[in-house]
Amino acid sequence: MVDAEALFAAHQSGLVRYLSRAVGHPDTARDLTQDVFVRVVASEALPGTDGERRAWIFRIARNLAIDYRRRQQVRAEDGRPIELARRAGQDTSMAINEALAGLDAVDRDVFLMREVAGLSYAEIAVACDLTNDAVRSRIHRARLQLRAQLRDPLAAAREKPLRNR
Amino acid sequence: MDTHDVISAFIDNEPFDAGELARALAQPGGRDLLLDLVALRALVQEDGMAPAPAAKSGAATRTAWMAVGFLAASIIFALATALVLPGMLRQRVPDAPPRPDRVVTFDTAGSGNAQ
Repeated sequence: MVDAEALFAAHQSGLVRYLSRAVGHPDTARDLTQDVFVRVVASEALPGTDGERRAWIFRIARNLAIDYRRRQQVRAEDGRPIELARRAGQDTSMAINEALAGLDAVDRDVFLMREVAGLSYAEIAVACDLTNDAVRSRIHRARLQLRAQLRDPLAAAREKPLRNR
Repeated sequence: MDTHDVISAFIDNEPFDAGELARALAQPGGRDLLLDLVALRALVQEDGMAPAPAAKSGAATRTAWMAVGFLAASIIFALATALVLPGMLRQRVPDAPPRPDRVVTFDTAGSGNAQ
């Protein structure tokens, strides 16, 4: 029997953060998080360890995000407006979102799973069907690209006390 | 492969080769890259959407579980009704008319002579 409530409590926050960045809209991220848990509850068995479970849940989330982005792309091609993650007056947010949007889709997913959801390289490798070395390489490549595009916000961030979390 | 990816592994608490890290940090721009990557993490995490408050998410979870419970109860009630009600109706409406337990008769002969 799947203890959906315990899983929801353990992973909801990380999923919402990851999906918010992955689809660019917090409300959509919350809806997709609900969809993730609907699928989790519907499954008959869970992976054994916590790490495997987390990787499996984020794999579901990633697939939902990919489907969502695909639908949004179709809508954009149809000429209908797509959702924008921009919040008025938040230049840094806009810059980060635009820089993330410029990343390769897989690079963006591995970067977000690590940076906003805190998954290990091994968990990301399972979630994204990659090797650990590929995850390490893609995360670094994403960081270099973001660094190049976010020079001013990074310079401002370095003025403040930093903490490696 | 970028030789500086050992810096990423280092800030991510992943296994890394200490000598490789030392060489990466000794290269021009190595230390600057380390600081930028830590700053990038701070930037992305601070800007990221704050998770829903625990109380709110707990309430939402409770509401969702209550809805599931209500739905399950409704289904059980409907099934029970569908199974039991036809039997009850059959008992209450038998084919033969009920036997009378009291007989009332009217004497119409004497009613016209009243007054």
